[in-house]
Amino acid sequence: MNHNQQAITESSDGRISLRFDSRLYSPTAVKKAVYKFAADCGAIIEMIDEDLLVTLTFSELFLPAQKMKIANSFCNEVIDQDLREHIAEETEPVRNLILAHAFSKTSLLAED
Amino acid sequence: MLKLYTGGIECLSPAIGDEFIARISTNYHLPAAARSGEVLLMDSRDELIPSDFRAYMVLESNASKLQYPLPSENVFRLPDDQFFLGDGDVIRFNPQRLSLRTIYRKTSHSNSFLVTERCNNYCLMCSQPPKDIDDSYIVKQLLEAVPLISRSTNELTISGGEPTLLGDDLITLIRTIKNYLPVTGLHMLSNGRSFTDAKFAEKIAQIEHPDFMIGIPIYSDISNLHDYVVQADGAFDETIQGILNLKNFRQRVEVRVVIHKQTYERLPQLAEFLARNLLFVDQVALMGLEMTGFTRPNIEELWIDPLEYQPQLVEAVEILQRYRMKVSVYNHQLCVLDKKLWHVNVKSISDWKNEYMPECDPCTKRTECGGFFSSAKLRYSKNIVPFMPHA
Amino acid sequence: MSATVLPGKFKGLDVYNQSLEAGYQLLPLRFISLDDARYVVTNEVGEFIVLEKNTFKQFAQKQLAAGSDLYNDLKSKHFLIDADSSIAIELLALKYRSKMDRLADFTGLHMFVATLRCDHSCPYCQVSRQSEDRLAFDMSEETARKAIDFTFSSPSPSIKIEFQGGEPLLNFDLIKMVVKEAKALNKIHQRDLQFVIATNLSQITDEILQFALEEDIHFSTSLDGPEDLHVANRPRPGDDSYRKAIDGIESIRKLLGPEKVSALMTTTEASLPRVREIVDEYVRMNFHNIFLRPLSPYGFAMKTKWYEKYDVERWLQFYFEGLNYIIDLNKQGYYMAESYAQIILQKMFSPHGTSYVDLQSPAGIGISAIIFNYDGEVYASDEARMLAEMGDQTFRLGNLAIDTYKEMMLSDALLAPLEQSITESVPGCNDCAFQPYCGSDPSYHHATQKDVVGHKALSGFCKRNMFVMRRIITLMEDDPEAKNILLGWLRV
Repeated sequence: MNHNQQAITESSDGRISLRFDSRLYSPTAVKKAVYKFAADCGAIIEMIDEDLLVTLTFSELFLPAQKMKIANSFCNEVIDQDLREHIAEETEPVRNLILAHAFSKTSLLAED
Repeated sequence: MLKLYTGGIECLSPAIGDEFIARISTNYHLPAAARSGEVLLMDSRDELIPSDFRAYMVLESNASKLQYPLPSENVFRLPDDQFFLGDGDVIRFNPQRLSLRTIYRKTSHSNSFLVTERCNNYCLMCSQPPKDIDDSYIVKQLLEAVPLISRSTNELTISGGEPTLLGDDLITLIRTIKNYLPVTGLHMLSNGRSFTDAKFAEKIAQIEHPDFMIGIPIYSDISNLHDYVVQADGAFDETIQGILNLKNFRQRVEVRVVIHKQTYERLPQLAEFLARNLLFVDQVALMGLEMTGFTRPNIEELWIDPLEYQPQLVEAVEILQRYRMKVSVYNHQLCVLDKKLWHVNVKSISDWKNEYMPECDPCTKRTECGGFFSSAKLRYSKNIVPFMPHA
Repeated sequence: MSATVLPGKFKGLDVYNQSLEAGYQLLPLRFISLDDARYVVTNEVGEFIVLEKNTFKQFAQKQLAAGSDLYNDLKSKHFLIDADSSIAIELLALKYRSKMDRLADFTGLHMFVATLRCDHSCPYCQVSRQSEDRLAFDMSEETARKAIDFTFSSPSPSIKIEFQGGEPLLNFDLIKMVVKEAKALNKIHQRDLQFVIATNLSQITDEILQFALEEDIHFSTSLDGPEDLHVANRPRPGDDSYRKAIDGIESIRKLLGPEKVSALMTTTEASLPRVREIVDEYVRMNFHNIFLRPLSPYGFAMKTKWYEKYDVERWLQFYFEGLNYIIDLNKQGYYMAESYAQIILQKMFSPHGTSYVDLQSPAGIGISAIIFNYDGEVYASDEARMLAEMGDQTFRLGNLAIDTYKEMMLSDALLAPLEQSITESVPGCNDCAFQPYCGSDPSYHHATQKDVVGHKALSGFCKRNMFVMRRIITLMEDDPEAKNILLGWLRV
């Protein structure tokens, strides 16, 4: 994690805030990470200047160490989701080509 | 090693006529009307030599024992190394040049027709180095020979060079073989590249040969490594496309892999690749290296002691078998072949090619083992150890 | 005759590697953490590779060195493509088609509920009735005939008719009738037709065995574990459900052969701490296959609050202990395959999909399996029938007496959940690396979250599958002996 790109801060009410530079991390990536972590924490997403501010909320049962662990995993997930987006975008044309071939009515193999 | 081509022939009666294709007969009582396409192979029997055969031949060792007057034309004395000639064999003979080629041997289990020496690959280990010449006369002669071949022949192989370079002539040849030899199995060795033309694959299919398989080599799961081995850029893609097209027309395909220093390392990965992508091929043949042709100049790039690549070979076979692909191993000696592979090993070296080394003399498994290509004298495993009887 | 050798000398590998200098492109792929250090990467057709996280990122950023072993493995498995070869596109398309070809076959498994009556009163059962009232709870011949017609409306080249209940042997006459008439109809349709009776074996008689022998019928029975566990799970007057099952299995094996009877276990609260004993029971009974099933969250199980006590994590503990134990048995020389792992391995290695209904996308409801209830009601799955027993008709497709095949198979009740739950397009699944190995289970998600798609982060189905898949892949990567054993379970 590059600490220039996001910061993890814990507030007194037990919530953890994460800051993501929206020039580097897409909102979709952040939202997908929120989706994935729904069992572990709730999240509120705000846009402040060019940063995405994500506030994670936890049930009282969580200890601070557990919360930090989840927050760190959350950050890693955002990075992963961002990479997934790039890969999906990059491979979309060839994926469409493959599927078009696969579903074509004519035989794949007799090229006229 | 049988000498299928020879020149040391003597003319005992004047030679008339040009090169011809004919069948050998040892039947002195063949009906006269049937003799014109046959060559009588004479021996020392106490019988008049019948007339009307196309030509007459006798081995040197029998020549002196001939008791009766020779026919006035076309009698030839062959060197004794032509001892293998027998009834039903098909030959090409040039009476003027006194050269004899045995095209087909009735008693052989492995008759092979080289249909052209041209090729569009240039494999590092090619056992039949390509020549860029017009040898279209070969297929014409084969078309003459096919009708003379015995209908009881089990199997024939078409090889080259690259047979598909013959184009429509190849189609004609296969159809002719089907017509004259309807129950003979036909195997063709090809790099498959010509079948990127789906229409050509379709033409093969339209022959509807009842027992036809095309053996196509793939040397790596990686395109550039395969292309390097066959010395042709783009060959990998074309070969695979060719296989896909053939399969689209329901032709039987065998994938062949020659194992040497450039192919053994990724053999398991190739097996995986075949299982994932070409599961529908009919069988896979994993073959030992022959020391002929281009293998000789490239020996340092190619040679590896078979004992050293047994782990990769075992793994590759296990992968293919896990996917229920039919797999066989060829051209390996039993003492350098992992025991786990003996059940897929085929004793396969053609009878006109095989031999044994001095180390093999006391071996109890000589007959099960295929032995070596005679060319192996150039280099063979340091680990040849005879199987000894138990004390 | 003069001959010229081909021009040019042999060229080195460097010449053939030149096109690699242009770099490579990624082929469609998905990735997910295997553990803290590694990702598992999959492509559209289920080929996979495990990479260190940093290595994967290097690869994704096109920084991998051309021609290295890793580069070659990624190229061979169709994760990357370079300027030297383009045949991967064709091959991927072909493989994708093969994976999907079962879809075209359409419905294979057709379940006939011969009767709801049953002599057992298993607490986890969703549907049975303790009753002698045949009229009320038996399938009629008229209904059965309509069900047979419906069955042969499916284009599938293989049809499996499975008799369910209650206890189907309590309506053995109907079974006889269905077998006879289905076979007669099959003379025209020429399908690969198979019959299975899912039975507790308490009603097995010589007459039934003889019929099964003549008509080539397979039996599927319940064996929940050692006697005390089985009897507690499956009460019956006289408490002899275990004895009946064992005796029934032996009788079938003797007359029909061991291939004709298989056993399934149902996991309950009581099973969870006893997985080894359960496996041992299967070994004792000479079975070579055991399906360590999760408990489905339907029916009486929920009503009796069993499901609350039971959660995914405890089941995973049960499952992993069982899987480890089974692998050990294999190492010691007893061949035993675990079916859940087998299904996933099949999806990982076989060119075709599997026919396991609960792990398919599009879901297997209706299009892979379908069920005809005793009263002619048609449901998209056995789970759907259980939901209906609890008053939830969401997955009811119609009634044989009223609706046509077309009406039922094109109904919203079927098409909507199929369409909505396709993993290729739902959140959580569409970018998940396990997608080729997983499926959608709209019945499960409807039952647990009141939504056929379900929020996957909150889904026991998702959690269970991810854990199991991670475990299997980790075993394949890190334990060569286990890998060999697992691969030996493949039925490609």
